[in-house]
Amino acid sequence: MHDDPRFDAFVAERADALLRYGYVLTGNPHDAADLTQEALVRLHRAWPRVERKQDPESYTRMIMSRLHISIWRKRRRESLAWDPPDLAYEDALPTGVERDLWEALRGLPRKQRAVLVLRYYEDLSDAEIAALLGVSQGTVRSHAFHGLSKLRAAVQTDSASSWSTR
Amino acid sequence: MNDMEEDLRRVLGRAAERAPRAPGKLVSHVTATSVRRRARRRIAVTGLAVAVIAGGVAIAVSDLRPGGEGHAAAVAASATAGPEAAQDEAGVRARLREQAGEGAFRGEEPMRDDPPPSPPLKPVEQVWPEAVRKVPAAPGGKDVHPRAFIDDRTLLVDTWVSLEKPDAIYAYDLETASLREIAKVPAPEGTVLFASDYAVGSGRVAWWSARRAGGGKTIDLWTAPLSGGAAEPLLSFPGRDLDHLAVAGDRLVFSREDGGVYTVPLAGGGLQPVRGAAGRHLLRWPWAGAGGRAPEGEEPTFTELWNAETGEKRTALVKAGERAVRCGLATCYGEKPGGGYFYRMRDGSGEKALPHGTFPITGEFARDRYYTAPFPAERGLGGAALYDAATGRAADLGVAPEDGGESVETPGFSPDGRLLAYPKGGELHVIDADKLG
Repeated sequence: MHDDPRFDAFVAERADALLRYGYVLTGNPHDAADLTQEALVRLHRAWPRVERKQDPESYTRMIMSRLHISIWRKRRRESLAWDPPDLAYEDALPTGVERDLWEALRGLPRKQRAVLVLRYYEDLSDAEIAALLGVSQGTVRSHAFHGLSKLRAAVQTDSASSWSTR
Repeated sequence: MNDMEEDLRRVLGRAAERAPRAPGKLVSHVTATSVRRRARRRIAVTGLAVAVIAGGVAIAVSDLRPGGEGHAAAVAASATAGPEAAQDEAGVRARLREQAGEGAFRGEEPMRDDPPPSPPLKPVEQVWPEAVRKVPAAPGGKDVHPRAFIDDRTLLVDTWVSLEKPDAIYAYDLETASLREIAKVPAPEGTVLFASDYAVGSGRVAWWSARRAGGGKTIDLWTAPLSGGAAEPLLSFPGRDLDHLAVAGDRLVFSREDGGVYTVPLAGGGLQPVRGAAGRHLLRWPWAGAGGRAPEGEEPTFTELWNAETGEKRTALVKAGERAVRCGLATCYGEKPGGGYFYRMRDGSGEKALPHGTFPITGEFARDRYYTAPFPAERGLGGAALYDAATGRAADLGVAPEDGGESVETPGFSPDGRLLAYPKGGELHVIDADKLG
């Protein structure tokens, strides 16, 4: 087993950014921590090759994205060492349309959410998203289209119902 | 970019600020878990060969070596040790491979409001016997991924070194089930997007790839003779990804995902932007239009068509209240104001509803009428079907639903609309849209 200080340095420098990505991808701090740790464990195993051939951060994000949409989360996982404290993250939520959207994101199937996060948080093109998730561009577009339609419907319904209960 | 997309961008950016912070001990946790798993994996690998044979899944054992190239999620199930874990691993990998198949799509939402088709759909080989062939999925021991028809009996296929990273293209003779190598697929230093969108014509096959270069992205265009030979770089230029690529006579024609139509002589030469095509996307040469293949929200796509050679314009009918109208060369579909999907000619004639409340999962029809979609069962999804929107005929592709009907792999047509192919039980099922009807 290698013991590479560059791996340690990578984790120290980039773990917070990866957790941020994990958080927007999953929508909750525990899953974000699970996903980030799991991806880093795999990066550790593949480190010599990844460091030689590609950018470790994109590799880790690719693993996180694919894990998230895979059946991984439906399985019993090895309990990973660190779980973040249960802070009242939602207290910091903004109000109005932003909160509606964040809530509506929870209702999306994971692939739809992943595609939207990759498009609007990571700013990737559809072709890049397709390569990263290992699906066709048509699939990416289909997920994006349906995800956006659902968000739009949810936000509209929300504002409609608050209107009628005024 | 509409308001909601901007809101979404802002929401995600702000949400990221609420993410948990990594503890200082994270790296030691990660390293310890990795070391512990490695020890377990040695045990698990012993059970692997058994799992492969028992499962009847054609997976090269060498491909499953611990730390094997980049298939992150394939090793997702590695948390527990022993043969059971190995079996899971093979299963996950098999599934990932299917998932990565050409145009594969996992329908995520059972259409609970729609009744299952009644009577049940017949198998596709009964409904369209002329169009369906079954051939080995691994001719000569090579796992191949079908990309396009070269001619009536030959498929263009590629092989992958790892997920979506092609290393060679072949001609797959469906009559003799034999492979002939056409060319190795180069991947220059820095490649981030591997060979995509193969286009066949004029005795050549063409494709594009993209690499990072100097802070931006460089697109590489390639061609190779169909008769076999080396892949030759045709042209490299900085810019955005392509959303359509085709051979038109002695030229390669393509459009960019941010709009704009271009041509390059196959014999070599410069990039020629098509005048007047700014912001347009190719539907099928020479027809281009706004919106492109990436439907952003509910804006119509290809309702306005423009001929890049003659300048002729064609406008499809869109009625008030209709949403997400997607058009092809001859037909359109979209959401009706009261729900459900319509299908009709571009001029508005011959309108009917799409069968069983389905719609094309890729957002477009093959040959202006054929599409695939998951179909409902009593509970959840029953499978994936091939539909003919023009006649309402439908056939079961024989793809089994997974996760208790929660999802089903739905294969999609090749970008040129002729080929629908998917793996099933060690075979490739190959459907030729030219022989449907």
